Amino acid sequence: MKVSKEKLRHFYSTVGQRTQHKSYKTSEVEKYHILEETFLRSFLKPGKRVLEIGVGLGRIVDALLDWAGEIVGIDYVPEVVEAAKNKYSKFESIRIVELDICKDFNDNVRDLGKFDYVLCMFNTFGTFLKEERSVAIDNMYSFLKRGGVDSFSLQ
Amino acid sequence: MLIVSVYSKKALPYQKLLYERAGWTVIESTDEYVVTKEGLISYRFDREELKDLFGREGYEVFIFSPTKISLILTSKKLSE
Repeated sequence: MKVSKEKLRHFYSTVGQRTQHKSYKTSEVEKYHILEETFLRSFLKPGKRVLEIGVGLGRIVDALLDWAGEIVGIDYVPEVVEAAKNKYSKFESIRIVELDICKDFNDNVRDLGKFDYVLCMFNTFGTFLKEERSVAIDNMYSFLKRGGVDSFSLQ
Repeated sequence: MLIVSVYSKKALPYQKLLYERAGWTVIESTDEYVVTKEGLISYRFDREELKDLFGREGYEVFIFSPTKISLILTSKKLSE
């Protein structure tokens, strides 16, 4: 297996966003997306601070536009960040930031503050290289507020 | 609360179909992951793996399966 971060970055800056478009989706993936979005809208309390890891072209942001109090979307692919920034430039409650969750952060990143919810959806975590996972999980946890939202039970 | 959604171990044929439809070529496929010629690697997970990865002292982890091809993990921070 020869996959590098640079190759992944190139993939996402070129053809990697295709599966977000309806015409490419299979029915199972469409169902996955719909249930993901339905879960978030039924489970997340409205008006809260949300951080999305791997914001891409904003499918999840779109689903939470009128739901979240503030959304910060991060992505490590400059071309994707630029496109998302343009898309949401008129929304004061949405901020798009170029950041790699898999790298050690410097202190500037802490300016983003803490969040009620940190989201990493549609197998974004599954595209992290194995050796990146531990840092990514530490970083995701570091953005969380303590408690703050209720527990729930789903079977 | 951290919310993570991933492909389950049952997702392989659906991943392949999606990638084919997107015009990508699968060059390697194992029980764990798929690699495409275009540069994507995409891992799949089961509940135990997710629990091992995200389970930490001071966090309450819950995992469920909303569809046959996906798992959602929630992890709530209980203390600083």
